[in-house]
Amino acid sequence: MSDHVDPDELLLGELGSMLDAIDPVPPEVDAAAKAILGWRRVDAELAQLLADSAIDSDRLAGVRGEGDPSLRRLSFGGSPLELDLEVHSTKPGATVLGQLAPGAAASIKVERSDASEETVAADELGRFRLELPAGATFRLVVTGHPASGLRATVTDWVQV
Amino acid sequence: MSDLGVLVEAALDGDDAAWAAVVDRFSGLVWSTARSYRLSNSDAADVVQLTWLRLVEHLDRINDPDRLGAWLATTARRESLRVLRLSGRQQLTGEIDQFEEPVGEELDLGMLTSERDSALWRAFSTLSERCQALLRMLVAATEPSYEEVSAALGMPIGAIGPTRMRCLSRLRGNLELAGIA
Repeated sequence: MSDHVDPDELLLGELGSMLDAIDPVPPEVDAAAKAILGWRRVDAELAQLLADSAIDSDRLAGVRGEGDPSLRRLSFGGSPLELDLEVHSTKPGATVLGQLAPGAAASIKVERSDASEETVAADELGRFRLELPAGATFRLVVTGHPASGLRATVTDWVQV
Repeated sequence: MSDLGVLVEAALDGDDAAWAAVVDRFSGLVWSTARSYRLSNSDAADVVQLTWLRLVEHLDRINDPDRLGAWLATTARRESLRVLRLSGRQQLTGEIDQFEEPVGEELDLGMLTSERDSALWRAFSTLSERCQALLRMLVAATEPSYEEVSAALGMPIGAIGPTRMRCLSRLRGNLELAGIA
């Protein structure tokens, strides 16, 4: 064993202690994370987030102002029932226009991370509309749709 | 099965204590990822909670528990970029060093109790965004692997070592300029 201490490791150690003092993980953030295991939907099909235009698009174009910056598109799939959402920023909130595929009537429960929820209906073409406050974190639970039969379909959580 | 694999299996059976242990294991990694993008307290808290909510539904799809940290870091990075883009604070390149302007981190600078820590903070805070982000990830409380740091910053694993060396040398240079050895 050598008692030589790498000066880089020493400096990183000091930096770690300093940053941990001024920017620790807030306890309420940890507490919130620990409280959510029971929200897992073991009984539902998961429609995974496949694309989010706010993250994935325009990377190649790199052109500012291309398209409508207040419009965001989200696609969920990998499940028998797929969903597309258009999020229109309507300060101070957001209007979400949704489309189920295949298009058919269904019941859609909007579950928010603050534990509030509401239910809207999709019409016979699978279209629906939601109003959400800015910054809301939510998922959709779709029931009564022929593509998923008796099972519910639940989307990944997203934030508007 | 690894320790982490055991915890994940138990969490899948509804064991809240096992889930809490998973959160404890990666809490620093996920928080530091959001902070590396200089998100405010409330934006970082939202990204972190969204990342954990995502994981809860994907827990049974993580085939290799050793990759759980990288999965969390990737999710937190993508959602941090989303926050920056939607608020118009970042160019569309996806690069960590493309910030247009520093944004409002709320740090508790009152916790800098020693002269040396204050000097270290000043030396750190004048580094490039890229250096600050990398060093912040490297010292995250949960000691992330290079794979996790790579996932958090979108930086190739092979670039981490050389960048680490360069950034530490600049940090040391800043400290020497300030007369602190």
